[in-house]
Amino acid sequence: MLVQLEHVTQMIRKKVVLKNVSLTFDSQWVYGLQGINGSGKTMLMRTICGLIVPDKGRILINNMELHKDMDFPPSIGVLIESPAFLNELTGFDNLKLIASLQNKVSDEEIRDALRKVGLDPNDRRTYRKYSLGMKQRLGIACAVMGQPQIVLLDEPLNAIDADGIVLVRNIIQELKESGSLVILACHDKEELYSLSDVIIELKEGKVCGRKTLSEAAGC
Amino acid sequence: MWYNLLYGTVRSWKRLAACACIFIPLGITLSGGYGAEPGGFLDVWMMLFNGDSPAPKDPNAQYTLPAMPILIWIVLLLYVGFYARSELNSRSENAILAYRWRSLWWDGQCLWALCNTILFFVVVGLALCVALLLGGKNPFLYAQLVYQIPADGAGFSLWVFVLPVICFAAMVQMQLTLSLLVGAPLATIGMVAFYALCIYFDNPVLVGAGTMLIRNSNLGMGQIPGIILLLCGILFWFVWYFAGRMVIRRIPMIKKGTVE
Repeated sequence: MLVQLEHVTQMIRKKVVLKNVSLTFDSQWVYGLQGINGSGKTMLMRTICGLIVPDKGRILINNMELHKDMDFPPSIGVLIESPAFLNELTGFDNLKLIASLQNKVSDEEIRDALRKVGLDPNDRRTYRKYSLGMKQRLGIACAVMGQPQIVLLDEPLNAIDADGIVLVRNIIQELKESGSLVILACHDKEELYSLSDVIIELKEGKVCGRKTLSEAAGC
Repeated sequence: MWYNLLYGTVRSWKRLAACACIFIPLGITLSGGYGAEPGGFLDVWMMLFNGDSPAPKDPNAQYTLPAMPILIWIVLLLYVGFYARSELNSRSENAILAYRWRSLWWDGQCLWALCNTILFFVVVGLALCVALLLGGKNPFLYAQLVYQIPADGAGFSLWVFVLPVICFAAMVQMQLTLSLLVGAPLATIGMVAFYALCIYFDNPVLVGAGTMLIRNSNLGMGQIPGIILLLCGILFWFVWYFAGRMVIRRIPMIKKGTVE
């Protein structure tokens, strides 16, 4: 899986959120986006998954152009900001509802995703009764169910306890080994560096640095 | 798309029930209350959707916009008008991405709006039946007003039932498209103003005219032929559907208020 951004510029309500961003993402690596609030990490993720059409530039996914050859990447899972599900459904039913849109993810794969994040697939509690940490775990499960080829995780460790962090690490490692491209953003620098192979620094919508794990460790 | 239709409708049942509760007392009032003159379902339906004549051309003449059609429109808008925008604001991004194409997502929203507009009027009809029963009347009694109408059979059903629903659906489609650009609340206010114009003037292009039975010359009341109203309604729907398809290709599909 190869994702290429070529001179991507994006303005939202007259504010430049991405400025001439050119990046290449390869499924061999886990990419960590580093930057303060408002630096463009989340907007970059939204642009890659097609929720935002860039004002300039283009995005190629395996040499197919987004918004020309396709609107959204064919195999992608995302967790952007706080996850949003239907309050009246259980965790399993929420994921099943989303999976039913594409008919690509089986019930067993949904159960597997829930177990991986430490949730019980047979839990009959509705989403309304979930704690913050459980909601976050469900969001991660939604992003990774069915082993999508691209996984975008924005602040995946929010509200997650120590056990959950270990599970998330295992999930990311498993995704990488299965050939998925993982891009994540995390405000905790230490966690970000431990999870990622490549760190991309963003500032005011621009890429101002790119370093591999070995370089980052040496800084 | 069918998931969106089925589940989106099921999730909206409380609002639909609330709409029904509005039309039950309205139906009782229109039927004259308990024990009043007998009249059937068609009488009450026709009174509900009768509408009003356009404003007189004499600038000195007084004119007051009728409340009934505007009330129906506002209730319908509150039921269907906020769905598409709320999908963007509140649903998981994975649910949107699963559509694979933006236009598919848009088609799903339009289909939901169209089907739920029809469902809304089915519920209104049922509410009127309940109103008649509560008022001690037989909803299946032959209507008194019906005998005054020149149309019959299929033509009658088309002008009295189908045409108003199509024209309301066309305006809903316009609101749906505008909500993508300016947000649902502003689009709703704009559409109420648009409907007021439809009532004030007598022009088939102002498609709201088709929602009022009194404007239809086929029913022996208005100046505009029913077929013109029908064609304008259908054309209006398609114009705003395709406009929305063009808009959805470019707009950010993100929660309202997000900038980071």
